[in-house]
Amino acid sequence: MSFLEIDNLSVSFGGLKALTGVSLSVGRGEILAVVGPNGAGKSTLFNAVNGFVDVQGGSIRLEGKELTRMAVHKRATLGITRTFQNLELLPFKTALDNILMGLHLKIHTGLFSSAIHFGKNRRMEERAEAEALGVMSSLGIRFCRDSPAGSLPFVTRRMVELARALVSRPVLMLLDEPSSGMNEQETRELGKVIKWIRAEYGTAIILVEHDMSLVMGISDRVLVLNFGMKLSEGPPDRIKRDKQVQEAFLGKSYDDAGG
Amino acid sequence: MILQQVVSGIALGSIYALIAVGFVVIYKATKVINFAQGDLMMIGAYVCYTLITQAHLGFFTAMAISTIATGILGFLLERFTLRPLLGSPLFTVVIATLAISILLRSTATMIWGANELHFPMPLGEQTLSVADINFSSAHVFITAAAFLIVLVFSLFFRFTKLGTALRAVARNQIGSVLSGVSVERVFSISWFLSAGVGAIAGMLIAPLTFLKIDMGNLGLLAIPAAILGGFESLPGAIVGGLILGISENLSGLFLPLSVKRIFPWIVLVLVLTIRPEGIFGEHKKRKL
Amino acid sequence: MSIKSGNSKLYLREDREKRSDWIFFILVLPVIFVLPLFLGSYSTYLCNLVGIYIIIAVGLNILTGYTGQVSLGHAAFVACGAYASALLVTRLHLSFLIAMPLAGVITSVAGLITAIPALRLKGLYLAIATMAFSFIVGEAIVALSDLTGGVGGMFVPNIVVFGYKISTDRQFFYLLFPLVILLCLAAKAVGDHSRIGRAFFAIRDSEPAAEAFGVSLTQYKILAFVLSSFYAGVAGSLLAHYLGMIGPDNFTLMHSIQYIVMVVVGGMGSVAGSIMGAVFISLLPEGIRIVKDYLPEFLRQEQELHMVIYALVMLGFMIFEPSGMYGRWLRIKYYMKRFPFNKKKARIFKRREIKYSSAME
Repeated sequence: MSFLEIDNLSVSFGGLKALTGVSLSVGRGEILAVVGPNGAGKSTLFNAVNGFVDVQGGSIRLEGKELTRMAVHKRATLGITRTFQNLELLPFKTALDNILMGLHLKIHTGLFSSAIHFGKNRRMEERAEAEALGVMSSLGIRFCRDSPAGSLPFVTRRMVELARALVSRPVLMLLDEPSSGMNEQETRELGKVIKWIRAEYGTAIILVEHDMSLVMGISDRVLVLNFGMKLSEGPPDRIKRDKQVQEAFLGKSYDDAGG
Repeated sequence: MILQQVVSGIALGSIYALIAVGFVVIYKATKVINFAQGDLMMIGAYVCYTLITQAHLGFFTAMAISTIATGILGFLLERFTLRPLLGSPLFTVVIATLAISILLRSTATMIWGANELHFPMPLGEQTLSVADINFSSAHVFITAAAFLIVLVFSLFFRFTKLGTALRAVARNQIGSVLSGVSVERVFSISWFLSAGVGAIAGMLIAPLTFLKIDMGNLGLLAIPAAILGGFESLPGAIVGGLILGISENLSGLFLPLSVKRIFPWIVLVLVLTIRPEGIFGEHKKRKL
Repeated sequence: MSIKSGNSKLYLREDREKRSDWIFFILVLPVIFVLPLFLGSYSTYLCNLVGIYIIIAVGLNILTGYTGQVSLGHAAFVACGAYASALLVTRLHLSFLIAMPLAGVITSVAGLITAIPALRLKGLYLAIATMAFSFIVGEAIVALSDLTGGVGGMFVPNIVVFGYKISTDRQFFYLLFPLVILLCLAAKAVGDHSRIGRAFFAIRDSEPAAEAFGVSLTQYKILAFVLSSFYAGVAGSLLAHYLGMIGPDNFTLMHSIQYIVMVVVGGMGSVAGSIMGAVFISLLPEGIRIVKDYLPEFLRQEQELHMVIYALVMLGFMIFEPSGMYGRWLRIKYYMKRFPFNKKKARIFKRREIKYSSAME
């Protein structure tokens, strides 16, 4: 049995079918890239795993545990974290505070302890801060610990989001177009970071991505979606040669934006 | 008895609807609830009163002048207080309209004093009885005016170029800007229209309620009507107003007076508890 | 007139407490406590009212500033605390020291009940629903005249602590201010460094992010309502016993607006800001009284002039200083810090023009 098991998943909005019968399995510590033209259902697949959209049919299981109808915040307790395509940071809070937010479930202090900020809460906060700073150093963003997230450059904000998702040592990370807004060099760096994350934390990573060089460079497997259905699935080399995939969109040029 | 309550409920509902139209016009274009709407209404009524008693104008002349004057006031308020807030968080704008409300109220008190004034009836007071049900002329007048105004505004939005621009901005601001509609001007115009319509409502209601500074509170009571009607639709304002007016009057038969006084608010809380987006509003989920 | 709420153009850092803050605090503390020795009775009375307003504003800031849930009906919570405490003392003959926290708890329950319909509401609808709630509470006070004295109001006895009667303004000051400081510090600690505070801010800035990292929106929104109304309840209790007489006129929509204006004018999301806002707004009428004598005759209607200036101050802050007094203070601090080299960095704080950003959603 694999780690994340998606079986015959169907999602529709109103009458519009966003996903039809998609099945998928992801192993522990595997990097899976989801690609496809705009509107192919990539983000919907993500949001279904994360719990932001209601699923009409099929099931999602993580380590044999049924997720399909679980509330979003409950899924987080199982070790699923994510980044957002349109960056959902707290713009007025410092980068450090943003990353500490990722440790919400790892800190266990009650209201009274928080209100006096002494003893248990202080210890826990200090430990969390050390942890967050460690991740910031690893990702090379320690310099911005005290800058409000909203004032940071776009790429740095992406890295802050990544750090926020990483700091709780998740078992599964969902990266929604992590390279969008990055130039070639930054994208290459990102690829290295993602591989490092897997090596260091053993996290399974699913990413939706438009940048083919990144996808081909880091993923163990690629899932191709088209019109909400699975078009093809396999190792990057095979996908690259797949006639059907090429016809569907690889051969054509398409823009990097949206999704 | 019940039928009589329904009839006066229709009149009350028309009052709500008349005020609600003002809320709807501004909300449609700017997506802001103007908490000063009721106070613009009050200003309209006071201006009209002054024109009648001091300048000895006829009711309809005074009404026309007051409508335009209040409209211009609305225009100026938008231009100098809300225009600088374009792009601000919604909450900031709401506080600003509350400030405008306080400003209008206290300025009016400075000018006209805090006493209630007797506003002349435009058509004299007559009561028509059909099968034991009393129709007062003022009520009939208000109901007719409410329907007429909604009709005129609906036609305006549908068939004039300006109306189309207003609707376009309501639909999609960026798209309208790109196709050459000046959003700023549309905002100004909708404030002008809404203040004008508020003034008309004020002048029609004042004979029934006396002319007083806190007419604005009555204005707030029309917010539930607007929400019942979906907040974006003019016919919805009529429907919402009538539902509210009739049910409020009927509630007076069975429930204590204190419930009747805050009936619109109770209805509002119930409606929002069941359907957080209002009865006709659509649920929008944020895209990730 | 954008739709996007809680997202200003200025990315001022919401400052965490630093050592300099503590030094400031330790310096200010003795000043506060010797203050009444030098003040007359009326000034002490004003200080006491300001202290009560600080509690309300700091509490409302937890709900609106931290969590982003607008409340236009906070006076209803204050009323709830005031009447609860008054009734506990007069009818059940409880000691004030029990009645006050109990009034806070009772008001928290009211907050919890309000939170349930409010959970699913956003933006304007939430503002209107809380407003509706305050009208309903206002009417309930009138209707339950057997208990509350209705429109005429009710008498509330002086505070008795351990057999010692608190009757002068100065005595009340020394009872009130330790409590004010305690409640402010608690609110600040929660906001500055705790998972609860971060969850609140996350809900304000991005509900999806909050959920994705394990924050239960339901639980934390309810918590924000409960905490906020606890503060309001305690403040209401103090207010009732201090004024000695309460009626529906003490808890109107105008009061609710005043409380929210304190939070906004001070600077949303910061305890220091709420304190500044409460001090500024509640002392505004006094300031007006002083300058009034220099104004032309027709402007001397005190009550109305006060309201006009009050409204203009509100508008002025919304237009020119949307990040409030605390935001201005931060900028001044920043400016001083880098004084000769301020030009370049200060640009971050310049107001960026993003018109119609709302339509992008």
